[in-house]
Amino acid sequence: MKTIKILTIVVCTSLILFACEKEIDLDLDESAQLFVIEGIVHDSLGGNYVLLSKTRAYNNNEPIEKITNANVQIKDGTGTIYSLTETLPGYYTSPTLKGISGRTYELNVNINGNIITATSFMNPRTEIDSITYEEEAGFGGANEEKKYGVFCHFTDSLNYVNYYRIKAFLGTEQKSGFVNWSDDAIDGVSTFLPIFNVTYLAGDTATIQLLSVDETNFRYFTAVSSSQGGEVPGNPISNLSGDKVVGYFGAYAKSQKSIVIL
Amino acid sequence: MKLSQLLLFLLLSSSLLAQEKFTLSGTVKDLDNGEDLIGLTIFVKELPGTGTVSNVYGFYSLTLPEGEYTIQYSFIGYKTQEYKINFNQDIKKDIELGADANDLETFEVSAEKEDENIRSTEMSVTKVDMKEIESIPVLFGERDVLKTIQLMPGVATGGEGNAGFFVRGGSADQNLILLDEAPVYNASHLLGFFSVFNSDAIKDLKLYKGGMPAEYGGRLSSVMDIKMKDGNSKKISASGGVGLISSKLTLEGPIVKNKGSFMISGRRTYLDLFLKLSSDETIKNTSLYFYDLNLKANYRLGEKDRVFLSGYFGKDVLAIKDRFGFNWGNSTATFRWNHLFNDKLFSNTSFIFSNYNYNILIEAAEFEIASKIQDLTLKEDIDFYLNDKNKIKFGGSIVHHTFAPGAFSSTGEMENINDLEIEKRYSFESGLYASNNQKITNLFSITYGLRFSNFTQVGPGEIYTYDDNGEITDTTNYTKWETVSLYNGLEPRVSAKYQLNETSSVKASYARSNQYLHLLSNSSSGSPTDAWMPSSNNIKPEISDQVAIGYFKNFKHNTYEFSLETYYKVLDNTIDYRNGAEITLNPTVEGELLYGEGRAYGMEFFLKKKKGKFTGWISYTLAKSENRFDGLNKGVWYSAKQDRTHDLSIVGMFGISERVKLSSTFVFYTGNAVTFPTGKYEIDNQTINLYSDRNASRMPNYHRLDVGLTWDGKKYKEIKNKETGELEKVKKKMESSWNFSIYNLYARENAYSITFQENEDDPTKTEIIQLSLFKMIPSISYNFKF
Repeated sequence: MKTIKILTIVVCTSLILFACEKEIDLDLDESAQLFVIEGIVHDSLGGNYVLLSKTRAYNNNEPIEKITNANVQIKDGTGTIYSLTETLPGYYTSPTLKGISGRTYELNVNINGNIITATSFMNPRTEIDSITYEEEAGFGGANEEKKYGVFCHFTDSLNYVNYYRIKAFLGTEQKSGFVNWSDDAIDGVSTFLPIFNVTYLAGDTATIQLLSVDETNFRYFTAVSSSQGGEVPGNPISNLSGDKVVGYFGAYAKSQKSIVIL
Repeated sequence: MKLSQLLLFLLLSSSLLAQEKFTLSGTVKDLDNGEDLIGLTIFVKELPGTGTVSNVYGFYSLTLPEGEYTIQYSFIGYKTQEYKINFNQDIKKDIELGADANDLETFEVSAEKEDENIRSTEMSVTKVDMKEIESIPVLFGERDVLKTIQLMPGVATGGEGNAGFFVRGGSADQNLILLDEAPVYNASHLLGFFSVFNSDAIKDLKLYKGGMPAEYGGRLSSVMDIKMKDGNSKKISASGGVGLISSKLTLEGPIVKNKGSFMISGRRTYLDLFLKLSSDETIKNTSLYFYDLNLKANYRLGEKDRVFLSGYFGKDVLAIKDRFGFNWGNSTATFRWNHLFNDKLFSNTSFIFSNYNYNILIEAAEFEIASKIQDLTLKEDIDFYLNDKNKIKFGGSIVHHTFAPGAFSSTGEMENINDLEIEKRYSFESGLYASNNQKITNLFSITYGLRFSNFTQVGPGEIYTYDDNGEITDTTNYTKWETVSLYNGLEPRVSAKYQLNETSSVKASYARSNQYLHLLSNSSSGSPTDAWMPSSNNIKPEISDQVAIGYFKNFKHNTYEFSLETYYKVLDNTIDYRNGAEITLNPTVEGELLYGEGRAYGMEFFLKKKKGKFTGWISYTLAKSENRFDGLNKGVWYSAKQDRTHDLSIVGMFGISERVKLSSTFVFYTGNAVTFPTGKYEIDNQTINLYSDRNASRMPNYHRLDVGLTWDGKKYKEIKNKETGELEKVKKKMESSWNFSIYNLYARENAYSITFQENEDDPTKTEIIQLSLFKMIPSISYNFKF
């Protein structure tokens, strides 16, 4: 839960009179290098990509090593196979693939004979009704710029188990943080969810994607959030096959809206 | 059953030898304030090794063969009293002991029988002297019993400035913390920086690290038994203190003189006043405080009956105006009735209520989360002073637990979320026990007992069953009171002492414990939202078996006390999370758990100088604590988070003069076992840490030196005696003292946390940030009493 993080931050800031932060060097153990896959199929024509790279040692700040010349295919539920072509180093996409809700997609990646597969089900799309923003109370002293929090309004479909990921962008750049919701508490409700992880400044264009995802993806990203805080550290269980790979493959029904903060 | 036969045999064998015997019984109290004296030793001079100890209500009973004996009542810090008593009939004798006039020179007065540590069969026990707490330097000058206890062997701190603790390699939830018999589910304030125990309201604290007596059950690692003050039964008095971050006030006095008394103690922090000074708006709009209220009253209904009512209420509030509110707190209430059936049979009946809850209000998103755990307990304990060789205890208890793991509700005008409640869970936890403290010979004594425990999970509710992968395999609806699952436990407890000579003894103990409640915590220091989970159809009770042996020795007329103990503990059905588990407000959280085993072993060394101008102790623990789970680290043993190889505390107190006391503590311990990333990768344009084995890395070692100075105001004023013309010392009505301390004197930057994060300016790079709290914190407090 984010609340605990907020709480810790608040208490720690109030103890800031006494506390100090500094960058340190640590000798860390190194894991064997693994493949990294980020694969997405959207329900829009050409809205798909597979990013292939490799893991690095934690203290290695050199550019990421991309995997080129891999063989990447996505098969839809009807048996049609799409071959993805590498348009940028490590970036594979197909201009003809368009996801359709209700179908299961299968990813096949061959990296020098290492075969990795994954499947993901595309749920029905839930449309964003609107995006609103609000000045964050309490934040922004006289000499500070005002900061704004953004809310995503939508109506959950009744009696259907939905899982959501919300991505926030500033212009075209995806902002850090993962927002995941299941509809446990919002089944069939017209609701608004705060985008906790991002604040915007006046003049920014905030773009929000509401992604309807399958349960495996929801669980994966919930685990990413909780493991990254160091609370239950561990590698999240993903839908990719084999133990030489980390990352995920998701078939997402996407609704997107933007707003300019005034 | 074999054990009960043995018990019966031992009882009979000792009573067969009986001749004409008489009983001396009564209560022991402090002369000045009428407080019951707990654990006061009563010795028979003519019969070395024979005696008894007063119970927690100050009651004692001693049965001896006919004859004349010299009975000695002694208690540390008090003047020993001695009486010649002719045991030709049953005698009732209430004693009031006066404190030693001069704390620094207790040497001669009560030196003789301060060797309870050697004579008793109890081992692995740590007591805190409430007087010592006053002079030990602490963070922000806020005296804290839970922090002082961390300076003892086998007790490890939960973290920097933290009131949480680990006993003998056990996790924090394996400590049973009782305040006047009521369990306290969350003993910390302000994320653990302070404990809920206001030291002004506490009379006595005892921690069992092993060899737990049979009357306690329900936790694997330790029992911390805290008794509140009863209140001054002689006169109205007040005491209090003003410190940097909090103030407190205690009022106590008689209800009817010598018949009953009351005590009210309150504490409130004002850390938030400092926050108002901040230029940062967020900090300025933050509320951050806690308060405690301790109440107690007791009344003697007659010669044989006495009733007690005690309560604790505490709350933490943390809020940012218009955005966020968070509060949590414990409340407990205990009603007790002491009844003396006869001079050998002492009974106590308790009715106990305990509640812990938290509320989170997220105003921006217009919803609220609430959670609580509530207990109702009925308990009966009987002390039976059979004869001078056997002291029997038996009793039982039944607890009704209610768990409300969490409820969401919408607070706005617009219903933006459905009200959602994770179903409440109900269970009964009961126990029956009997134990006997038997003197076999003058040198050899043994305490043996058996506890039978039962845990029954009852409806109503929709109960899920999970398979090994955490998937639901069955859902069944249960009606109210219908049994869902049931566990029984037999818990033998034995401890024995063999006295080598007048000044040394060896002891050994074995104890089995069952734990039916489990705390799911995902943070290192404990958080108010950590959820207690009952045992259920999926969660089996945790079981521990511990053996310990120890050598105990006192030197130089009990000026020095030394002990060396070693223990080995085996744990079964321990619980941990699956990797990446979601634990907050998750209705299927039981599916996120893994079950494994644990083992902990270690050696504890303790040397204390109890008397003289210079007092203090050295405590050192060498230990290991490991876990094994099939689903973690490929099923191999790995270090538990609280595994501390070395843990050293040195405490020194030096009385410079009658009024000035200097004190200092030094602590060193191995850093916690933690999981640091072993690599990283990028998805969704952000860095994700790659991990390998759990708890394979270490936090840096921790060390710190604190110093303190207590400056007492004059206790006496000099008045000229009109008749003799000489100056006489007269005790002043008001006593006061100043306390100055510096926490972390040499400003060591101990790592509170180490964070692995993206560089803010260049997110493609990562950095490692160490957060250190409390670099050299001076504090000052003023305490008074009248």
